[in-house]
Amino acid sequence: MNNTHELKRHISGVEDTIKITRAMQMIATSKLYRAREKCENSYRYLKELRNILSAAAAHESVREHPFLREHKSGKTALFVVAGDKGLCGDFNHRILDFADKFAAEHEVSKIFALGQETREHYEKKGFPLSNFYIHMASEPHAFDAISVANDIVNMFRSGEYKEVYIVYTRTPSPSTQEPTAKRLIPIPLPEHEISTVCPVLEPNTRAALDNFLSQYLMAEIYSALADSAMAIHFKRMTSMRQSTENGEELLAELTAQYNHERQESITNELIDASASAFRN
Amino acid sequence: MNKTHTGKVVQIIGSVVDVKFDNHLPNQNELLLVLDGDRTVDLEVLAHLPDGICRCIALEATDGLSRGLEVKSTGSSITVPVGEQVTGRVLNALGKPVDDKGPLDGPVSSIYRKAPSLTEQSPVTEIFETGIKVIDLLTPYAKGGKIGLFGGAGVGKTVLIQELISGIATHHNGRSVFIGVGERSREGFEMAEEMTASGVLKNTALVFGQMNESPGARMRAAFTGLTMAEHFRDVQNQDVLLFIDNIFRYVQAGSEVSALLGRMPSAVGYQPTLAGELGQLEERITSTKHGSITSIQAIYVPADDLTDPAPATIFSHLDATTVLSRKVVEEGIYPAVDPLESTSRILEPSIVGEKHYATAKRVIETLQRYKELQDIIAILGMDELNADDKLLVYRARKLQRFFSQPFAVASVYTGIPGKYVPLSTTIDDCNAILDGKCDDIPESEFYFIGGLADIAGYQA
Repeated sequence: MNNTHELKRHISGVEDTIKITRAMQMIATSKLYRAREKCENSYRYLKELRNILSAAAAHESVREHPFLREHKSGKTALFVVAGDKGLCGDFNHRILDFADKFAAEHEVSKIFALGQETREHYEKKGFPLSNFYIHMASEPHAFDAISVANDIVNMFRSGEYKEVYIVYTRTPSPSTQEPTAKRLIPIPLPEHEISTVCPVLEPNTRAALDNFLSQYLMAEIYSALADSAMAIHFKRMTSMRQSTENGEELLAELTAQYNHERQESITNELIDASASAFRN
Repeated sequence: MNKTHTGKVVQIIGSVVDVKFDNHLPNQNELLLVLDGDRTVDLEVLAHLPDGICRCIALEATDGLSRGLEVKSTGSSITVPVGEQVTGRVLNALGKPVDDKGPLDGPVSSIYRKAPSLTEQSPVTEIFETGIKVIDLLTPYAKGGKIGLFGGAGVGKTVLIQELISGIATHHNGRSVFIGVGERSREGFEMAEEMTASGVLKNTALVFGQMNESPGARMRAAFTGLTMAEHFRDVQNQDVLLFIDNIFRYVQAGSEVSALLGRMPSAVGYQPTLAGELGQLEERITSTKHGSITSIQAIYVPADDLTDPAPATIFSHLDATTVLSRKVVEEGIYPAVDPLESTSRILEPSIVGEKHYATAKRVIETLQRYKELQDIIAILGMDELNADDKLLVYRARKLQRFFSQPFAVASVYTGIPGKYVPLSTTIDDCNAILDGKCDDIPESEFYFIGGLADIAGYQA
């Protein structure tokens, strides 16, 4: 009866949804490979920079650079990295929940937000955002990292802030994702043995460090963005696969119901028709 | 006029008996008696065929009858006892007592009467509190209104109607009439026992035309009980409660009779006269300026399909419809009222008041939104909902569970005593859930409670 119409509409709605989730799963799969490559490259680059930093830190004067020295007073700022879009499982919820907890523990007074979801999250909470960055969550570029690093460095130079943290999703392997907080500035010195070979700093210690530490900060941020992007793609891939499966299950149920109702109405019409034919 | 005439049985097909009269033809709907040795079998004239033949429907079993038996006309239609004498008694479709308490010899009335005219009817404008949360809030019943309980097999129609009887009839000072049509005869017996125990029986007349009876008896039982209710209303000017379980069986009996009479079946095999037959019965169940009949009717929904012609036709006669749904049963919520399908004509601010109306609308909107989100949740999962929708889903789920309620009649099975919840408590509690005052209480706490006050740790 009328019910079949309604069911048909419902079925086509679910079919359309499945098409979208399946396409998103495939796109996420292919993007995951590229994101992984980027991630590994950024690790390698960052590792080299760390070696240089630990070598340079042998100079006593180097440790006195404002980017490395511990500051006693000032406020804390936080750089939160999440996604631009939903449809990636609990990725955004996890990292934003973690950021909220972290912000509460560290009395954060300023937030840099990366990703549309992050921005909406804080705007809804009524937390004023001075900086936000969108369209760089899922495919971060080195230039993105540079502009973020510049903003952070400029703010830090003002002297109002004693430290800046980054909250992002660390992804040692695609399937293990850990929301992580890491201090960006002052840059934590590598813990392993400090090299005894002192590099030569040209033209002078200050100028060389200014340049190098900005580079280092940029690499650190870029690596975090790459990590986060890989997590997004992996999450999107798995959650969309799950969604497609759920949708197919629902579709099978609805189709069975539809067939049942359709058959029933045919049977009823046949009964009516044959009953009247029989009578005549 | 009352001179009796005799005829002879010329054909018997199941419940349909053809009788030939030579000189005088009995009227339509006249009661005939087949004389079979020392017993009589009642027939009712339903059609006049050529050659002086009356096609009749038997109101009792036709076992043992044979062609050629003598048939006596009675000169009147079926008459049943009415008035005080029927209270406290159990009767069959023909108005004969079946409770071994002796015969009835008071006033009688024909079961065929006209429906009250347009000017005699009185509109319904007052809410009738039942103490059942979901019903009082979303499908408020009207005093003197017509209420339908729709539901497929085994969703709890009979339990709900019994709960309403035990909740309302025991506090009701006037007369009640219960009509059992085509349901289990065991239930009828149990009801009589319970009513005796609770003391309600002395104000109640029970009429049964159950499954074991012939289609003719099942079809007429509704009229028999209704005639008694009408007498209380019109002659004694009382407010009467009328319970009918189950109107669908009346339609079904009508369909059996129709098929036996050889009428061409209409859609889904129902009788072509479906709407007319129902109108004949339903139009008489109404409130007048003299007294009111508040009727509560259970309606079986074949294959859970509300678009089936029988329930669809009954729908249009009612003031309030409470739809019991299998989906809700599957969630373990009783009474399994489907809040989005159930409606009431009196759910408007001028009758129930602004606060009640606003709360009901809010509840329905919340549940409606939850229903819309269900596909998204099923496919994409709860994580994809935004924070507002997530909260709404949690509250909607709590509301759904809050609408379950322990019943007094079910306390023997569940071990939980029945709870009567005043309407004002229901409204306040629903608002509290919607306002997020219960966001910290787990969902499972809302199962089978009365008001929110039953949850340990809840502070209003």
